[in-house]
Amino acid sequence: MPGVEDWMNCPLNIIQNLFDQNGQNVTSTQVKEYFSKKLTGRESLAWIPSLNDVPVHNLRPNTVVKYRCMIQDMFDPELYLGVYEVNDVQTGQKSLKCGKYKDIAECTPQQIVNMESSDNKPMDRQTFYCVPIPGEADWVKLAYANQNISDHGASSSQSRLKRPLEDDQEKRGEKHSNNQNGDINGDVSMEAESVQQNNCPNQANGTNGTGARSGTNCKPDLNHPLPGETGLTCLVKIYDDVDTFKVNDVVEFIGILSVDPAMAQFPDSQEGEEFETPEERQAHSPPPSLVPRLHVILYNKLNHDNPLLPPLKTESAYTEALSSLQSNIVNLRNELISVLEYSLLGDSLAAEYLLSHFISNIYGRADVMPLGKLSLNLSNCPNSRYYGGLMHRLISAILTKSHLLPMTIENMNTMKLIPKKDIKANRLESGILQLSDNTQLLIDETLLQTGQLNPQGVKNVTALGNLITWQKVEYDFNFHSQPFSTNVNVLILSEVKSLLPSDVQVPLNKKLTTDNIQEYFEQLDSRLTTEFLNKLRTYITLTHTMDYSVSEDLQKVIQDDFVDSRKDNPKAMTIDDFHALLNLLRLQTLSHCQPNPTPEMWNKVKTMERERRERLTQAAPTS
Amino acid sequence: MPPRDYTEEKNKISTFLREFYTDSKDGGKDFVYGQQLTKIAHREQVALTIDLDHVFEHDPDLAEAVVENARRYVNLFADSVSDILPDYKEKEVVYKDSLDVYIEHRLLMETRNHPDGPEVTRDPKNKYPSELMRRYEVYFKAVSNQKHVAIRDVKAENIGELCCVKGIVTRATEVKPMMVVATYTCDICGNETYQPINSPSFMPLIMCPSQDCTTNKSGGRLYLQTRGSKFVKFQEIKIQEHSDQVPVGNIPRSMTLFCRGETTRLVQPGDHVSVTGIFMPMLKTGFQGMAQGLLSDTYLESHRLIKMNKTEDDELEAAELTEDELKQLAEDDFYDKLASSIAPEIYGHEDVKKALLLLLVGGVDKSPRGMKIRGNINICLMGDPGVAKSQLLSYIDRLAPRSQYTTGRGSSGVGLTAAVMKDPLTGEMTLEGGALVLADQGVCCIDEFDKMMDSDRTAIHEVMEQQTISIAKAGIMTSLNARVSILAAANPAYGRYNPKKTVEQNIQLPAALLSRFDLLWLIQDKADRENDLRLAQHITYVHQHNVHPPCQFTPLDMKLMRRYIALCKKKQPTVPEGLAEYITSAYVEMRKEARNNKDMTFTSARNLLAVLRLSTALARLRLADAVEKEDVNESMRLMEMSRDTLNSQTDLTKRPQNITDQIFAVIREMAPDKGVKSVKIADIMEQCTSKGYKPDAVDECIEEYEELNVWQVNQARSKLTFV
Repeated sequence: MPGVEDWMNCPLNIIQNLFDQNGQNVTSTQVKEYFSKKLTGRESLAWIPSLNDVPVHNLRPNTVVKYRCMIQDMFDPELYLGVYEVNDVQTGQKSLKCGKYKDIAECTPQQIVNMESSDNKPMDRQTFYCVPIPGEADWVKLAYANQNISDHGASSSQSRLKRPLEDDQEKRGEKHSNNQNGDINGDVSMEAESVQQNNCPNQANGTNGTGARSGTNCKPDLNHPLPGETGLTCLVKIYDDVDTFKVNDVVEFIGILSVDPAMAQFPDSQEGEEFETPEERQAHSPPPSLVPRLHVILYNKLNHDNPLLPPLKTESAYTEALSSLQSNIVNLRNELISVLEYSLLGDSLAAEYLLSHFISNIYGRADVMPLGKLSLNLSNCPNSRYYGGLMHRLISAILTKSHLLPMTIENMNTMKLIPKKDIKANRLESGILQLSDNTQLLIDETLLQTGQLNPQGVKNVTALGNLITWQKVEYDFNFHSQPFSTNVNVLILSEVKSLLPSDVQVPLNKKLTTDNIQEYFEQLDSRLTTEFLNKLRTYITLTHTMDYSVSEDLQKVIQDDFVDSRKDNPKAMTIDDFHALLNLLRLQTLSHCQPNPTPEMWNKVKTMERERRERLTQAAPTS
Repeated sequence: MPPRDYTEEKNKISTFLREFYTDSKDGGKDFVYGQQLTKIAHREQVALTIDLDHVFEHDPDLAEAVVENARRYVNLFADSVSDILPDYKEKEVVYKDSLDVYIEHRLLMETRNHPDGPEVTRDPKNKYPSELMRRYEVYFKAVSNQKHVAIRDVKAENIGELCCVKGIVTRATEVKPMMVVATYTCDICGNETYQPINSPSFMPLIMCPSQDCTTNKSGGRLYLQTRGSKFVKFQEIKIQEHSDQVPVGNIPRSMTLFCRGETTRLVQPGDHVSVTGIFMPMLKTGFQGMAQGLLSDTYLESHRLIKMNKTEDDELEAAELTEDELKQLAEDDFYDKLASSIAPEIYGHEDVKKALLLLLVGGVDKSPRGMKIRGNINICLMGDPGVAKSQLLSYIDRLAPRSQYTTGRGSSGVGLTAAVMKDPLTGEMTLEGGALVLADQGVCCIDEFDKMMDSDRTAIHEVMEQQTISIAKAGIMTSLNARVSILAAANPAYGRYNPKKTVEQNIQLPAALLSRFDLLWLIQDKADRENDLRLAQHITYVHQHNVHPPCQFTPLDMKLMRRYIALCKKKQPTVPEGLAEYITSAYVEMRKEARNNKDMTFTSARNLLAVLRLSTALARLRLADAVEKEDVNESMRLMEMSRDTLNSQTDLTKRPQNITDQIFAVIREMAPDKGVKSVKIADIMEQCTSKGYKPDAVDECIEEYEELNVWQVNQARSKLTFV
């Protein structure tokens, strides 16, 4: 019975067949080949249900599913029987079975597994603990969900959507209707949303960061990096290429779902108590209904998390998107700048910097120095407790991944920012700073009041500082700490110069004033149509991957400029300033979708910096 | 491969145990295992460690087989030991515990019941399991050239093999007794039944399997006998990979160790260990075993557990410095080469890098008559913001085998020194070391030194000279070692270095602290066309190509540097008698100069010590045993250079400024502090011309200030009086 159904619903039979055909041996490559033949093109991939938006109980066990996630932790390798022997009780007939891609040794009721057989082959595989991509925007989830052709009908949109972060419900409704224009399942998901909202009152707290982990007290801690996230986590079993994965990688796994209840461990079972602490058991083998297992056959590492673009740069759809963008870049860019300008209360210079900041992306590291980052500190922000949230709403509508971190004394003292190895449970406890690449972190410092930081708070502030300057987070492994490189854009909103370091500080020059900041932002909503937003989203993601180089001639001009400006006063242009200038040049060029900067661009960048510095000196006496 | 004949192997083993010997010092034969077996027979020794080097010498095939299938060979070795052990018994032993008595009784019973050979009627299962009668443990020691593998490289293929891994202990359970053989007695027939146990859990026997009970169908019940059963000490340890074995972006993996008998209680969490053991899957029984069918946990059954300390480990590596590497190092310009290999991405600052190199190597500690004089070199880098101070610091932090990096703003005195903490679990007071204690025998890099609170900074005074930290709080009084070199970086107090002020004023550090630094460097961001252009090219290159431009020389590998420095540290060069005079005279000269020059730094006896430290460090760097004159010269030069960075600035900014002001300063200094403030003009002329000012300029200055009414000049223009 060939067809789609076959390999999607009974993959294990196919693997067993391959195993028998190849003389009781099957390599992962063969399995891979078979399945990748079936899965050419995104269209066929769309048929596979995704764990991200279909609830586990709606999926049949041992079928092919896909899962888009971030690797949060890597467990120790586990040993399993790659080949095992089953004996028929009645006939005594022996047969060998393939143990790959499954958790439980399967056999018919008349058969028993012979654990002692000399034909059994132990093999090892690696388990990753994966979480849905932290900070993923709602529109991303929805768009991915809508790409799937699913026979599960409406259930697919009873999604495991993360709740939006604002606590203002009315707002959210509006935003949704904005984002979901043309979404056929819009009503259903709205409904689902309100239902889930009622079920999870705790989460609203979680988003404020105050009750960082209160939402999870009823269940085992699922280790989401960001408080308040609820998506399905998964234990992913990898059979090959284990070394190519890194922690915090964003990957789409395609594999066989395994939810056999036999894997559940009961808290009162005393077995093995000597060797594993209860915490460890809970962390490593949570009930499969809560944390399903996924046996990976194929995987795609995702360079970006934008559903509007194909995952690979080489695909034709990608280049098409790029050329269509380049054709009307001027309009689009102006539109975006005007939206940003409006949100920044009429400051066009700050809008340019903010756009550059969005585009910034670490493209390389020279030794320890990260290149390409542009952390931005917008000072002189309106002193309204809503401003941070409103900005975040705007940002999350444009960018794929973002998180708002309200920087209050209490948050700094209580929140877990740095991931820490829990020796007792033998797992990595996640922290807010465990973020995948190109995540936007918005730190709202306007909320900071004076107060006492406890040791935890000091550590947290230091960690934030390190993240911004070096783009690395030192994960705590109890006896030593290990640096992990990150690629996170950090935007700080503050009233005066921020406590945290930043590459660029821009004091806002407020031209527009408003009494009600919420109403002010609502006026923006009418401009943000889905079509327009989609263009912006594609634009930002595309700029991340564009090529860039500086011509020899311009390099010379730049170098001479540097020397000249230092001749009169070395303080006028320090090495750091020069780094920042080159960086800004790159980002501004990319923002125009150009691969090479022009001398005009260089002059523009210099003017921008000059203007910014003038503002800083003006702002200095008042601060 | 045909199955091995294990009886054959057993014979081989017996021969090996009996016949292996090494040549002893007095020329005779030293039967290593024979002697140990005698001891074991007399219950004076428990662990029998089989050195696979010996086995290899005796029979290479056997050694290989042992490594491949270690678990089985443990039993084979143990069995052959049991076989040959009676031969080694020379005298009757006194029973030590009840198990000895039990064994004796059992042996007697067996011979009495079945004088003519083994019992036929009895279930073979019911024989005495060999484990029960054994009072020794067999361990393997891997061949000495076996490499340590990373924990992540121990894979399924290695099951049953003897592996060597290194790691850090993260968790250790308490030592518990673990049952090896369960002994039961029947409540009807009184027969003893034995059950060897290999897995962590077991299903107790209930029905008596003895002949009496089975034939009579009396249904005798078995009861577990604690005294008759055999237990071993058992401990479970979890180790985690060393950070250097973890590929970038991966989580360190961990591994479970099972320690039995003599290998228990050897290590504690936090220890670095090297383990030889057999990689084994864990057998699961009961419901869990059936359900999880395909899965099994793994563990390493430890045979040899050695605690390492990190420095030992480093020394080990240093010894491996190959000929090639030494040749690479021992070129003529190795001093420059080593220095420029420090932070190769930072341009220039050769002398600073040399100083940092010496800091890493360190001088020689001396303790004449109980007084301790530190050998560690402390350096303070000062400079305007953005001159790569922090980069230098973080590079040193990475290069030094042991180091701590902290910022002045981020650490209080407690964070640097040590704190008394209350343990949340036990409520006990514990001492927790801060950055300085943790960096003992290493480098402590403190960034933003000037931003520290004064009260916190005082904690460093003691460390910098005495190299200890004294604690007297919460009932704990102690003195902790903090033999650290301090590398500090400070920004000038007013954002920029003000050359008109003294060092103390500039970075607002007390002289007491500053004098404790052997070298103070002022790194300045000076405009210099050629340098700037190179810098600009460098930066544009970095932005264009994501890497630093290729250097003219290839910087030495960090690991090689580390090993070389470790090697240098082993040397203890001395100052030869002849040089002492040279150094003293140089010091006296330095003092004299300092008096005359009135420069912005100061010279004290500490400088003499600094010269000595630097010289010994230089000698160490040459791997020499004695300090030479060149070393002293070089260290004097370095001190001079560091002083220059502080002073030269003065001339640079003042000269174009105003000569008149300078002359005024000279004159003002000449005026006596008390009484009538008058100076003879002739004296002024003399002093000023000696300083290189023209008489015209001096006259001009005198006139100018006279007009300003700062001083009055008498009629004869021979004397000047301040107003």
